[in-house]
Amino acid sequence: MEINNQKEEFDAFAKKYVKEILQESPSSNFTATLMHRIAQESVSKSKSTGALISKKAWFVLAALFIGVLCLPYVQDEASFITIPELNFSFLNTVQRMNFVESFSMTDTVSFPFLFFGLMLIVQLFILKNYFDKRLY
Amino acid sequence: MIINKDQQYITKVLEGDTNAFSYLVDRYKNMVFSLAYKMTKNREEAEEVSQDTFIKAYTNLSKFKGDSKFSTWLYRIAYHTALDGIKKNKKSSNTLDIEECTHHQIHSVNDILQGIERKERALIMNDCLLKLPEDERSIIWMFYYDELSLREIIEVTSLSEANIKVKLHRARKKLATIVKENVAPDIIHHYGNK
Repeated sequence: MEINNQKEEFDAFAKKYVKEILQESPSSNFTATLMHRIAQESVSKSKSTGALISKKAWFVLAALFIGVLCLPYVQDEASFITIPELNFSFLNTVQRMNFVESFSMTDTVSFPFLFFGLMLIVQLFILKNYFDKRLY
Repeated sequence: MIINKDQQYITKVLEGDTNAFSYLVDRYKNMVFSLAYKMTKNREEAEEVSQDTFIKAYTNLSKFKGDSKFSTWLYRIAYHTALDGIKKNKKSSNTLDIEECTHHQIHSVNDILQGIERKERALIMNDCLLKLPEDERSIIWMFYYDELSLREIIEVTSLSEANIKVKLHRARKKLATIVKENVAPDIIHHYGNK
């Protein structure tokens, strides 16, 4: 009872006197400065948000890619393009050095790597969501 | 009515009318600046925080879905921007080690304050409020000056209800104590000499 009364008294005190404090005002040119900044940001945003590769360029790239993929199927034997044969025999020498074969990883080593990768991916999503929500 | 008007201007801004944003700025700049000033205790910093708040609000306006009042959404941005500013400037918060004011003493403080002109009383209360620790100061300001509900303060600060209630309770007591300890003797002395 006593505690509640005390609480109410402090509440009434704060309610009465805090409300009397005068609201602060920013400088007189606050709105003008702000609107100028916004106008500048809008300009820079419109300049910077343009796509690096235009839609037209994407179509051209896609057409080229599909063309390259289809090339072996449409090409007859007497093609005007002759792809030079490449000699990859040097790889045999490299293989003889048994770089990959000598490299082995135990389960104890591979599991931490696996979990590290998983955690990294999970954290990336969590952090992305956190910063997206935070915005402030 | 005002909320609808806010929404009208928000829609205009989203449709590309940048100048419509100035209505929202003019309407809320004092509210935002006051909170920023109460938190930073520095006019230049408060001005910077307020500018940044409105810039953030403008660039993220499309994210405002109208689930809460625009003022509460803006308040949230201002609160966090001010917190970031305080962290950046590495200001240490006030730690007060003061004796608590009893409910008997609050009556005498009340009487003293009643005897002062309203304008002067407002200045005294402002000075005393600024002596509170930053987190309690901002919550007192939101609750008693801007009359935000507990639910809105939770939304603005992301603190739990219990935490806010504790801070509010402590802040009220401290405020009364600060008035008692710092102001009452001066006033008694001042008016006693008259």
